[in-house]
Amino acid sequence: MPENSTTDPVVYESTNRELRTVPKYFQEEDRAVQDVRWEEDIDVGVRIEPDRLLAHIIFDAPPPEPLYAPEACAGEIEWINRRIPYEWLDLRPITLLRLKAG
Amino acid sequence: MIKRPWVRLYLAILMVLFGGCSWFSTSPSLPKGYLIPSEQPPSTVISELVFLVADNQLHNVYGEPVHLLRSELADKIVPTAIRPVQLDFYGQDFLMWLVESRGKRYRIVHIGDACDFSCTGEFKRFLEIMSEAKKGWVMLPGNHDGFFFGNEHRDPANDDWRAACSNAGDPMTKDLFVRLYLAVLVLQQGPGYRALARSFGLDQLDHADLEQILSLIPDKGDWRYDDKPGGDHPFLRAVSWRIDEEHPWRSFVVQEVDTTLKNSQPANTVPGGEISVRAILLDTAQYDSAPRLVQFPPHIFNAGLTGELLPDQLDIVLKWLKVNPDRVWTLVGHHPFDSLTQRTQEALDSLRRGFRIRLYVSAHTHAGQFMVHGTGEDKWLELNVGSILDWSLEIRTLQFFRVGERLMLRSPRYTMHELLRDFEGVPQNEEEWEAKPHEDDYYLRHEDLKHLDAYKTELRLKNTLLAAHHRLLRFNPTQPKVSPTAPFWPPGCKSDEEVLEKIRNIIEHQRLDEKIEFLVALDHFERERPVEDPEKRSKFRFSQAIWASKYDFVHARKPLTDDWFIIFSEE
Repeated sequence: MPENSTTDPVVYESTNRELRTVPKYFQEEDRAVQDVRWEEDIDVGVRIEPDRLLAHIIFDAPPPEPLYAPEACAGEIEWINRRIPYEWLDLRPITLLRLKAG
Repeated sequence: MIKRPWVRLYLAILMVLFGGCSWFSTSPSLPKGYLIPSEQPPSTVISELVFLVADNQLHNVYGEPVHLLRSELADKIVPTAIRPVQLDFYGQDFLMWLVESRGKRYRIVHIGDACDFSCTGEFKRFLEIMSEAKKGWVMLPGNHDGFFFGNEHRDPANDDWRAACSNAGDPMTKDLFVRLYLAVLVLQQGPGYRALARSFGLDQLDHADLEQILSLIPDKGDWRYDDKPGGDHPFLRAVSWRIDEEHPWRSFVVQEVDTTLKNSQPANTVPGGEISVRAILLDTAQYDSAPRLVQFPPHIFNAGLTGELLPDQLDIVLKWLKVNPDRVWTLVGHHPFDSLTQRTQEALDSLRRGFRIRLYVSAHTHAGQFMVHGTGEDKWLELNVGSILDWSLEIRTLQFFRVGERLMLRSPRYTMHELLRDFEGVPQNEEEWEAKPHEDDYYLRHEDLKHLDAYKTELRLKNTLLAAHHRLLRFNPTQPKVSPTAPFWPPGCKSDEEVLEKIRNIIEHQRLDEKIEFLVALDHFERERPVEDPEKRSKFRFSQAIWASKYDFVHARKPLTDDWFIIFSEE
């Protein structure tokens, strides 16, 4: 997390059941994003729960930032974004995954 | 139907001469070993992301008539011979946005054609823009960076080149380009640039001016960053150059950059350890004989049609590759592979076979595409990057990954009009902002005359530019409280109303030289004056450039296939 940041890199929107990136986090981060690397066991059909390690944000300098499922982000993954335009994460929010309804 | 034989001959010559910038090729298929996945497979990033940009072709809009090359008939043959004045005047805002927005986080590699006529003033304006690329940038020369209008070497005292560069410094021959570029390279921050500066004896650069640095650059140099254990990890690794003032076209600059991603992975995720990823930025605009407009006899080339590397540059590239043949190498050059001389193609192909060169990146076509070369199973890939100025306003990023034991390229293509629509909300739905076909500043006014008179062509262009200034000022007034004696007001003007009136008068009554003189004053006015709403002006400028580029692409004011909404005329 960037120094003095009060923002998390992702937020879970329960209305749409979507996990989205938060531009403010990346604006406060001096380092440049080089990849969003999903954990090997994270895929469509997998059930996740809060605090589950989902991915790492790889920057141009260490350390990588682990991405955990936020509070209320629980359920089966319906869709996962494997085409993330991470060049622009400081400018616009990107949906990383969506959970199944119900 | 053109009946006069000399006009037909002229047209035939132009068609042969100017194919280069609208060139397009068909391509064979990749062999079965390649995959083109639609999503990113589980993979490990091994290189830093860099932004690729090309062919912004910053054009001096204050030049005098240029015979033959800047006539409206020439534009019929080569669409980029004359662009809408709004694209020339506002179009560099695209590059500025990219540099200011991404250049503080990511490195930028410019693949050539920073300039259009090749004037020192054009290049210096380009450098002003690039100075905001705080993370670092490099460029390689295109045919418009050192050769008159991208085609030929001429004596810099030549009337046409001087006329084209009027109000924009001097003609920039190839030797001068190399010297200027090196001078600017050492002014950048970062360990590679600083080490290069030290090699010139420039330890303290805070107060160094460009002229001082230019005088310190030797005519020949081979610099390489001196690696020390635990030392820095510079982007710029090596630069070699030759400056030949007697034969400027033989001058070259070749560079090696390191994009290896260091120490950034979660533990134990890079099997086999870190992989070194580097690129060599070639100078494909290096010629044995002075390029000329007409490619005759066979050893004479037009720089817009043909690229070349001479043996002295190729020897350096070979030496660099041999230092560590196991690296992942990319070669980058302005000219597409197919438009390099046979000798150069053979030399590069030999290097490709001998080392791990997986990709050749080029520009020049203004129509980005992937191309496949080679035969049988020995096929390989070229990534051609489109222009940031001409539709579809393309940029890309470039990065390498490992997928198991295989290498993967990630290179998303972005277009400026889509980025600006998403991030800046332009073009804005302001009906009055857009110049319509019957208006004096209509984007395609240069297309409806069909003659060879460069003076009349330039007169038309300057009047259109004056009318474009009129629209700019009408919709973006100067702050009301500024002093009428402020230094930015054009001569004889103390208010917006007086400027608008003078524009109208100069369009109707004055000579070309007076139009140019007033346009230069308007340029200064536009750069310096405070406006009531800077954000609105920024949107206005982007909108003009996007409309100009789009309509220029299809030679008409009409929707493109990607347009969603069309409002009909009133019944």
